[in-house]
Amino acid sequence: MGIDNAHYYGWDGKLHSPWWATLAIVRVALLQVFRRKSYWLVIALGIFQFLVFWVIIYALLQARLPADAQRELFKLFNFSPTVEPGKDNGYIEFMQRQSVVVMILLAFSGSLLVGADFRMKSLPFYLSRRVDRRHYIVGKLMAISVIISLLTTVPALLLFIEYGMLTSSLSYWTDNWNTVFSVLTYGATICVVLSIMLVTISAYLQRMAPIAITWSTIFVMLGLLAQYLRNATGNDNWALIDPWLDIRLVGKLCFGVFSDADGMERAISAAMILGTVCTVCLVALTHRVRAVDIVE
Amino acid sequence: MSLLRAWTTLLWLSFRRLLWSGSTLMVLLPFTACALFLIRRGFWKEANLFETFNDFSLFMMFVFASFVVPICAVAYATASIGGDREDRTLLFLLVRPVPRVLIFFAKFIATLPLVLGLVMGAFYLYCRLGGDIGRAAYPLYLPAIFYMSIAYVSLFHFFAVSFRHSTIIALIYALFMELLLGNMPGIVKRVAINYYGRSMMYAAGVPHGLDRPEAEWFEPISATTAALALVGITLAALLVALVVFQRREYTDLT
Repeated sequence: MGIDNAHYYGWDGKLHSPWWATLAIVRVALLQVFRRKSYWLVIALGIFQFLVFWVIIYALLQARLPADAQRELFKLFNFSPTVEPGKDNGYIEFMQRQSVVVMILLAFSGSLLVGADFRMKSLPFYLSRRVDRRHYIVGKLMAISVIISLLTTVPALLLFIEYGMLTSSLSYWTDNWNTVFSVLTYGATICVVLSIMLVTISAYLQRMAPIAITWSTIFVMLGLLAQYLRNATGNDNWALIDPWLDIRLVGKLCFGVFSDADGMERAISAAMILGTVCTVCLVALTHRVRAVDIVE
Repeated sequence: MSLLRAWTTLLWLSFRRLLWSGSTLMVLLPFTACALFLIRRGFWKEANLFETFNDFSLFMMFVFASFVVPICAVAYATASIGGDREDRTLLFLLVRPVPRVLIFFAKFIATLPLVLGLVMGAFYLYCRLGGDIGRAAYPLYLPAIFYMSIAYVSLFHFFAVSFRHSTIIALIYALFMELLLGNMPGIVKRVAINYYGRSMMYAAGVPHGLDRPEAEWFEPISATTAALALVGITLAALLVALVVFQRREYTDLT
């Protein structure tokens, strides 16, 4: 059928900015993830941990124990509702505990959300509209950031709200307002770093198995090796090859809880490492996202 | 004769497809990271042999055997049948006049040399990089690494024939269940393949300087029992996978 017979006609109305398309990309990506039953298995692991902490906070606050006993009991569960000298608050610790679940979920999501666009050749369909590579990349980064936030930042904030609601006044919230700030900045660091790395790795590797192998090598194995090298050489800088530690240190740069002078220096080094990695990833990603595959 | 030719063709094709895949390239990443670690760590330079043997053994146990071996098995074992399921080419295999049992064994046998070759080759290389300590550790830990590798390959083949997204299930098992359950107190860790491999390594390594684990966290079983358990897991997983593959109707292929 000729194009004239199909009754296509031009759009006379005012066009929205193509940046609005990023929201559609986020919506579709979330639908893709949440309709897979096997992904819910991983999400359930993350929700389970959140529920455990929810119940612990509820049970310990309802028990009406003396403050010292309550603090000791919270310590028993490795949770501290307030910032202690040289330590992070319990909400940050909770977000770190979610890292395994986040890592596994992202290892699978990369192939579904980004890899499939390249493997199934659907990228040209995105880029044939007013959406260009900037909108595509930002949309995918936002989609992955939303998934990460749903497992880390949002539950941590809910726990903070729960703790405050179960006390007798607003003083917990007003005294610890900077906790919200620390959770948000740490969450933002996780989202930015993980989403950039995941989208880049997925754009190049495309299939689930290689993405998952690379992802787990970076986020599990480097952590183990960093620990061994630090213990063997006595040089704390080796710990910086662990990306989770780097993310944590960069998060700390924003809310400044350092136990010693070296801490700040290491955090700056971590920021430089992550900055370099993210820049390289973004350059590689921009090079990879193009409407036409170049075939040799 | 034609059946044998069909089988060997499938075996060779599967082997080549697995070998020249993105997984092979990516699996080299953890192997290279381990080699770089061993070069930087320099076990051959250490004077205290007992302490160095302990450090080398812990690296082999908690990094190589607990992470690299299962990851290598995931890369190939889930992709051998899982890759065909994902690409929907399994249908073309199943409609051929080749019994399903032979198709399964072709896939399994195509996977084994890749996993065993990479794992055993890397293990040999790492032991050479460990100097005298590594040479001493090689014969001690070789059986544990071998039995663990075949157990993982069998188990992940079972996942591949049973679940549609077998890579997800295998990775959750390898990264979450094994690491989490393998380090829990009590007997819950006995569901992990890792536990039996570590038991064999402790049984072989403790007389040579490997520190005995704390009893409340890890109580190893004897090397013979552990080896039998790993062989049992291998055979049981193979048998169940075979039965599932023989009887199952793969409706997701069309």
